[in-house]
Amino acid sequence: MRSYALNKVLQYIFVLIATSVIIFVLVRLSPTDPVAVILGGKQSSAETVANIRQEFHLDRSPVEQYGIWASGMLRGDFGTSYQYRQPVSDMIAQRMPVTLGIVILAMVIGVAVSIPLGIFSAVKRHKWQEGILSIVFLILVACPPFLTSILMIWFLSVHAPGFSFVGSATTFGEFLQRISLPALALSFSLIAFFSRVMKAGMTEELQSDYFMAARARGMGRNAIIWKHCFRNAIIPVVTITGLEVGILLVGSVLVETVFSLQGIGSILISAVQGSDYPVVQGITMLIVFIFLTISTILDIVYGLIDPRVRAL
Amino acid sequence: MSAEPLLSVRGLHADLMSPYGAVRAVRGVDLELFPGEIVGLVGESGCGKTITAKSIIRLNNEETTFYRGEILLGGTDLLTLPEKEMTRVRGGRVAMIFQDPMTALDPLKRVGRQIEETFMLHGAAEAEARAGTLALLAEVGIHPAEERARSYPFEMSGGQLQRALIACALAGSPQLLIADEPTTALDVTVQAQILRLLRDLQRRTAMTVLLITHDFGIVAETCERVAVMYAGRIAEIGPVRSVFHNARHPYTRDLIRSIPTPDGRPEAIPGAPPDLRASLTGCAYAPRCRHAEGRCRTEQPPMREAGGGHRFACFFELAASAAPAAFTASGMPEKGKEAQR
Amino acid sequence: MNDRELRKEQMRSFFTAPVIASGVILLLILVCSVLAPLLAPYDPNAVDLPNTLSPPSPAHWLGTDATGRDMLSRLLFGSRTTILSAVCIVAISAVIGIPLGLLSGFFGRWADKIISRACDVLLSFPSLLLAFVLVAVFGRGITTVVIALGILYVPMLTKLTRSMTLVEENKVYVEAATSIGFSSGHIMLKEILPNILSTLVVQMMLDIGYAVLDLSAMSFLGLGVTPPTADWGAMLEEGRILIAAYPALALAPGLMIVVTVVAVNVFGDGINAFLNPSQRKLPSRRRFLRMVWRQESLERIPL
Repeated sequence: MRSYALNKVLQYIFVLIATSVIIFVLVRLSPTDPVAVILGGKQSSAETVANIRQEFHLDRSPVEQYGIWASGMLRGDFGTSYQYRQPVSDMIAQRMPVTLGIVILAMVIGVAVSIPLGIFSAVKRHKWQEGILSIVFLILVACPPFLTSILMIWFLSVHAPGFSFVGSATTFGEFLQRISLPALALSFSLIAFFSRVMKAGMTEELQSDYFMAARARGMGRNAIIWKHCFRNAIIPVVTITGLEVGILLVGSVLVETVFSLQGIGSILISAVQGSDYPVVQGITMLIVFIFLTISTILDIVYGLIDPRVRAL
Repeated sequence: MSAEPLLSVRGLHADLMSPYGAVRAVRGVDLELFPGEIVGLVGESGCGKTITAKSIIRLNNEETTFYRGEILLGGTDLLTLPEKEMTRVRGGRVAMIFQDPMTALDPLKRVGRQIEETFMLHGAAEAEARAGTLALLAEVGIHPAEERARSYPFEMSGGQLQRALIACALAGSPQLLIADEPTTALDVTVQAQILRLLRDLQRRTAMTVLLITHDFGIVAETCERVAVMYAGRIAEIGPVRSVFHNARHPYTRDLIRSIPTPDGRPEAIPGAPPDLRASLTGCAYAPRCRHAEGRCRTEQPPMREAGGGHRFACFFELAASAAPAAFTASGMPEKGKEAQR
Repeated sequence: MNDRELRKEQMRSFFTAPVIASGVILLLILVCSVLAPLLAPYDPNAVDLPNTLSPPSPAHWLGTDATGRDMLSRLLFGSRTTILSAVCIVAISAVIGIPLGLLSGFFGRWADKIISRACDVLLSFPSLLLAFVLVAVFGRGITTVVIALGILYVPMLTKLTRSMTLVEENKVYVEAATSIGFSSGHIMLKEILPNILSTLVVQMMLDIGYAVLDLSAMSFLGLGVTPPTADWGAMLEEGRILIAAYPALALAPGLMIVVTVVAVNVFGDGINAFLNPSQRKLPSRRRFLRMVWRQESLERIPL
């Protein structure tokens, strides 16, 4: 177990560093001149340009710039936005609650719905219940979250015109109300994905030799499903949860746009469109960091579930 | 042979629904098992022997398998028993062990825990179950029992696991143990040990064992009676010695000839077993049979008596002494089956 | 059952109603996207200010949008952009991903190490994130997005190819080819690739569905096609604001996306079931019992 966990942590650090280098290098490849972005198209003297270059460390060598950026991030300093001239970390901190709220709520809804649904449709294999659920999953997979969001807004505008989902929230209740719809929209595709994995895992367990052997010992189907199959079938779900957190973080960008919420999605998109590199770099790195950290933790948790991995 | 059978299978049909069509895997099997005997059920793979065995404890997929006929265990028909009561029969009066011991236990739970579970399913309390588990593990030759009970399945060898699974099957003190190819997945040296263990346990507990195998050598060493299955039907049944030395069904003879012996070339049976999705008119073996004539292809041969409980399904009265000279009265030579892994 | 009957049975279980239906839909969509310039009654970008937001009429079968552009023409051209781009994305990922997977699976050691690590790094960018970065760097436009998504799809395909190559490598036919002395290139391309191709094709088929979704998401965010180019995602974005009053503007492209992705999935699953019989559907209980009855009655009648 120790070497398995150590291996995972080393890989985590390697990928994190490699990713930061890639992001940094990619941004340097851009044909757009940062100074022009910072000046926002205004004419200015050579002196101002020089000052700006110094302020944003653009006069240093790329290696030095990387060092400044990377070491800054370790301290929580993501640099300064070209467009807004304010610290990227402040911008992120201000908007993170909305995005994290959406992601966590979507995750909770998704897991709570999809695990029982996946088990149910595996148990009802070859019956009409499975048929209907497969069609539902298929449509949910094909329905991107931004489309689901639009449909929700349409539905509400027709049937519940009073429901407010835009504007700023002052209380926690309002906050929950603001994020509930986007989270729900996001959770639909999560449900489709998770349910299918859970169903596939459970179907495999139900056809396994040990399932039959346990039945031969006189155990009831339901008892085997909960005492034995569940733990086996949940392993693939645990391993893809990390992946899903990443998909949700990016998906949140989409639903925030539809619901006009002030999450990190809106600043990321405007930064992408406006070549605001410190913001793009910072948010990208943050999302990668969250995603990789959760994946690594889940990999280690997976080791705790499975004694075969624990023995490594 | 006592008069009252423990289990009697009468006219069993099992039809399986598959994506390819309807597979009529078992097509009218009659079989009686008497208390305290070991009966072998042999045949090529796909002849319906495993389906027959699984029908006895109703482990075929309930949604896709359709049974006809009856399976009487001490007077109750298992095929019509409600699932809830059937659950009590499984592992209780009838237990079963399987071909691949490596996959027959939950990989995430300790071996001992899973045996305890079986005890508790059949009415033992927690402490009893623990003591019983250790006693059984010692009985099936797993030492040190206490330590091994704490192992996970992946930490044990195939032979050890099969022993543990036998212990598991014995936990409910069954009257009938069905062993479905219990040694096929094991090394040759381990095979013999497991068979010996089964024999010893059977003698000690006086349970009935139905041993399913494709290996005639195993039957000769272990069983008292043997039933030969072909295409979902019993082709020949009788005391092991009588069937070996006086096989009456051409299929049994061909099967015996196909065993490799030290001084004779094994003869392969030409052709392949029939597709069980098709309708078979006449004797199912006719297309491969060297004696087949016209009526074999149109008429199904009846079961005939050959004396001493030896019965066979063939129109012909073939001359006795079908077994090659290599088979002595002491039984079959050890079969040199190559290790599978 | 002989080989021919078996093949017939196999074909029949493949050509089920849903698979045929989705095949036809996909074919239609493909034809529409290729022949859009011939089929479209109007220029998709022609603004017609007197006729904005008109309902369906003989002149405009699906009505017009907020600037009076013909919806039908825009949908047709939109499918052209979306579908052809999606195909390009999958083609790019296949051209890069499959050879890398073969190399890493077949040669192992350092080639495998490097390729696998590179995949891990690429996979550390969840879903569209890398595409965002690339658009930020190289600017908005369909080319950037297609290349970005193409790269995004490489690691999954590489990993799949690699794991399947590892399985095939240990089979007897590869061993035989090695012992005869065929070159590595020959074994990879002529022996292993044909055997894993069918599964890869299914995966690529499903990837087209995901590409349609991702592409629409990029355009929806305003990072994909540049206006006024029609694209389902962009049309959805244009229709979004008017959803309460004119739902059709957003629903039409939305429906196209859903229908396409569902059809791709059903068709892909159909091919998959064709290749893996265990995943096929069972016959209905009635058909099953009839089969049993028919067989048994045949047996009772002597020939």
